[in-house]
Amino acid sequence: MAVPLKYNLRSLLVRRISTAMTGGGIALVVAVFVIVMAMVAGLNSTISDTGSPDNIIVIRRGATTETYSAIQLPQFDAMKFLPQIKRDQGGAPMASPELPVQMLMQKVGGGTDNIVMRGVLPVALEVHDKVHITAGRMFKPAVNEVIVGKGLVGRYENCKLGSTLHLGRGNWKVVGIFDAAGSSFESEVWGDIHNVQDDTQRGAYYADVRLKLLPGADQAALIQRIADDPQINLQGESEPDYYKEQAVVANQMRVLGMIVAIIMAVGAIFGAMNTMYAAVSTRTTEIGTLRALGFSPAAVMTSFLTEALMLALAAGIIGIILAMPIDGLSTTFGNFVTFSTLAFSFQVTPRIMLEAIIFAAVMGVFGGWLPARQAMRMRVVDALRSV
Amino acid sequence: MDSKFAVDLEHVVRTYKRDEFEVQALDDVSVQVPEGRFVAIMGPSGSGKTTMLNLIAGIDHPTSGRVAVGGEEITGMKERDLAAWRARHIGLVFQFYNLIPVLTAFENVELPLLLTNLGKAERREHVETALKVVGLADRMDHYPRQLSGGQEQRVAIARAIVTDPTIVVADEPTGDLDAKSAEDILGLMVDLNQQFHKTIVMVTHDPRAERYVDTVYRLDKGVLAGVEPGKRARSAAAEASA
Amino acid sequence: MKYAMLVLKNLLRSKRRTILTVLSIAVSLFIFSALVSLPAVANQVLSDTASSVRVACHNKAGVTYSMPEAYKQRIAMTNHVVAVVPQSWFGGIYHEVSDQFPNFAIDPAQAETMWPDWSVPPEQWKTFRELRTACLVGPGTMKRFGLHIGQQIQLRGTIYRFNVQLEIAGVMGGKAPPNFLVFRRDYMEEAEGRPGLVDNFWVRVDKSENVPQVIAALDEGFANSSAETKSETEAAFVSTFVNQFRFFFQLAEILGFIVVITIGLVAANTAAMSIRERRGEIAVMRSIGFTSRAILSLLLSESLLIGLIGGIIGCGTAFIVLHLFAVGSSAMGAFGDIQMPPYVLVGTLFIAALIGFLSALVPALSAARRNIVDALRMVV
Repeated sequence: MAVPLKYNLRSLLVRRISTAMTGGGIALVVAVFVIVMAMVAGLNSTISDTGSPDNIIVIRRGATTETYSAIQLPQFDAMKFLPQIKRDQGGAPMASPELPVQMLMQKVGGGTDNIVMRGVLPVALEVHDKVHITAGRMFKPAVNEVIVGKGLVGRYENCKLGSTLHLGRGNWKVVGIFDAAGSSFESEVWGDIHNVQDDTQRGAYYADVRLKLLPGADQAALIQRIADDPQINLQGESEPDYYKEQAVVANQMRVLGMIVAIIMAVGAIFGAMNTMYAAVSTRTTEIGTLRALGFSPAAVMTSFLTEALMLALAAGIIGIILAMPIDGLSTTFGNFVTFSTLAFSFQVTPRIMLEAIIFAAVMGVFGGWLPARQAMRMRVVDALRSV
Repeated sequence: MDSKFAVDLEHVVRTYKRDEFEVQALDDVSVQVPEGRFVAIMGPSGSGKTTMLNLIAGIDHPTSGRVAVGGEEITGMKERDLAAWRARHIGLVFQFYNLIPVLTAFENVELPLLLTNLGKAERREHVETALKVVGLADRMDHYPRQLSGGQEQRVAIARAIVTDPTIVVADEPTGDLDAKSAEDILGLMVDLNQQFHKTIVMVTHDPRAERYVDTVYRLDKGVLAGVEPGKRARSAAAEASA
Repeated sequence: MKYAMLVLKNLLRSKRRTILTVLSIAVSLFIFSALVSLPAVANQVLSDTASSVRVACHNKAGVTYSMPEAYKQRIAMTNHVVAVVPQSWFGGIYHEVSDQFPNFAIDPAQAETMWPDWSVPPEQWKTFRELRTACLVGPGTMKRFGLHIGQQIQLRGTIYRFNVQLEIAGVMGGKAPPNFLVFRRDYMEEAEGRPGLVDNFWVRVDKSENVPQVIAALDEGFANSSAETKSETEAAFVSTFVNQFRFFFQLAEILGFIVVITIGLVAANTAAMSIRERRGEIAVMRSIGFTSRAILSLLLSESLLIGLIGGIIGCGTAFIVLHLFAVGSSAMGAFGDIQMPPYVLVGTLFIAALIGFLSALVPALSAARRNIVDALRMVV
């Protein structure tokens, strides 16, 4: 009972230029959508993936990020032997006190960026199990040595094995390069926490502490204890939760991106509508003939709707292909939450591609709906008369 | 309305509005066409002949009066049912052929069959037969733009008969053709009528048509002005009495 | 312009198509002008607010490093220096964590000399100098929280472990960042336990030609000390913050570019379609006596008009939207609201006209030039 698909397909091909231009418009909108979503996915992934599910981050009460947090030594001492914290082979607790500090680094090619230098102890490598040293070695304690995250290599001056970095007030030798599974740690420089404290001259304190949970331990109980114990009196949160909140900027970008894409889509839909209306009016006689032959009004409407859909889907696929080259493209972004620069890569995920196709289909349906309805509503007699 | 006639119009009136004006296309027309006839509806421009044809073909509704085709009353049918009814019972031939330009001759003739339950192989059979009947079996895969006017009309006729309809309805089928092609088409239609006993109702102002049909219905200003036997009927009668 | 009537009538003939085309151009240019305004705004902020005689002197290591208070005397004694104001960042929260705005502590003594462009009346500066808990607030923040002069507010410390109770002594308007708050550094110092550290020294130089000399003098003077300094003009200093967003700006510009191409396609398509449809009537007009040039200018005028109307609607709407809403949410950090710079407005209208013109050019040319006989044959 349906009008054959080849009718629609060939009709699209016959008016080549019109089809190409309308399709082009839709394809571009889809490409923009994919690019923006890929950016959001990349940002999200870099930030959110920084956490480990079995880690807790402890910061000052009322602070929202480690950037604006301060913890004193006695608080750390009171916390580190709590039972829920995992111990290493030697029995030492896997509790990592950390002090991230923003420092200006020279970019290759000129200019400076704020980069996080994280003061840590060697236990940090055990607590942050996604971090692996891929070249060189870990820094020695109490010496001005640092390891540099992979994301900085090639982007900033002297981020090479063996080079000397001038950071803060001192010179630091780069003794290792580390990989952190694409997370935000890869945009950091890690050095001995005591050396960092000395350099900033703000006294001996920590910004935050990372604790590794014993498998099966009661996380909620630990967090409660950290808050309730008057000697600790801090705020704990699982790392994944913490980083999800940090990714607020990615969410804002997603909202902005969706707004732009939707507004563009409206423009493309108007264009598609114009094209389909023109098609309907050019093919009035054909429509009349089909109806006269016995195709139901619904069949005619479905046919034109299908034609719009076919065009939109094809355009959607082209749009995705157009945007594909951006997959894996790595760039930097100024994260004002941590007040430092973050390296991330665009990610075109399968989910994004699916969403893009659906987006294209929606554009096709909206663009084709009214013209298709008009085709359906034509009186056969009038349609045949307009020769 | 119990009717043995192929076409039965009973006191049909058709008026429609053009802006503020009311135009009366048909004014109380009653016509009964027996089965198996090849008839013409003729008259000057504006006489209502196309309107009458549209009513018979089920693509228009009368303002008042009743219409029955092949014994079935279609006056009150809803559009969706009417569409299905047309697919089964009516074969349409238009002045400007109205072939779908993006489909081949074969595919154009196949179109009405897509509205049936026939399988692909069966459809192919019917289409090939229809095209053979009109003499265009060798042009199945041509597109309308690759055919001459006469050939296009033949394809259109093939399309009209492929579902074995109750009646074939033709609106100025020779209107756009040169003399030779027009004669060919009229001859073809006679063959269809004689060999396959198809009832054919044709609207035309082509005077040649009178030679081919059994009956001529004359319309003037929406009113049935006269019914005459066509030359064919007369010559058949003449033969009979000879 | 006797053809004006004709042009208008033709556009009104297929109302739906005209409206759809105008709307799609309007919508796309709306986004385009909004997107392109973003980087322009940032540059505007820089050139607007930065003074040519102010210099920022901070620790060379980075913004989170401080310098001793004592540097103030050394800086004040440098040649061509007119005023010195030490400043430290506080970063307190007002009410909820989401109610953030930048807040700093400054030494009141020479603030009035340093920032005449803040348009703070002398009485308010006087209060600021005399009342220890006084603060000055930018109009954006005043409006956002419905504050008034004389009101007491509290800022909760984040990295600093104390809160401050402040009384609003005045509004910092003029070229001051619209959402900032400044209070007195001696209050902060005392609460902190007098560490004697300063994040940044603002330095006012007597004449802009002397700025490079002062910058060199300051940095040389503090070289090899425990807190080496980096001095830069106010413009350079602010631009480091703006640079954080350069990625977004680039992205916004790229997106804007893509949007323009998309509209171009849509408009070209519509123009081609409508001109193709009117082949017949164009042929008839030519046979009556209209010249090729007349036809061409007719068709181009129609298309130009559509483009311009679409441009005015789209750009105008963006202008109004940007003006009405402070799009600067926390996404833009320090910037209050975003306005469309005039050159974006003009540029967008120009693009609109260009699109209108170019999209019809090819089909109009071929329609106008086509041999009359051939054209008529197409009608019949």
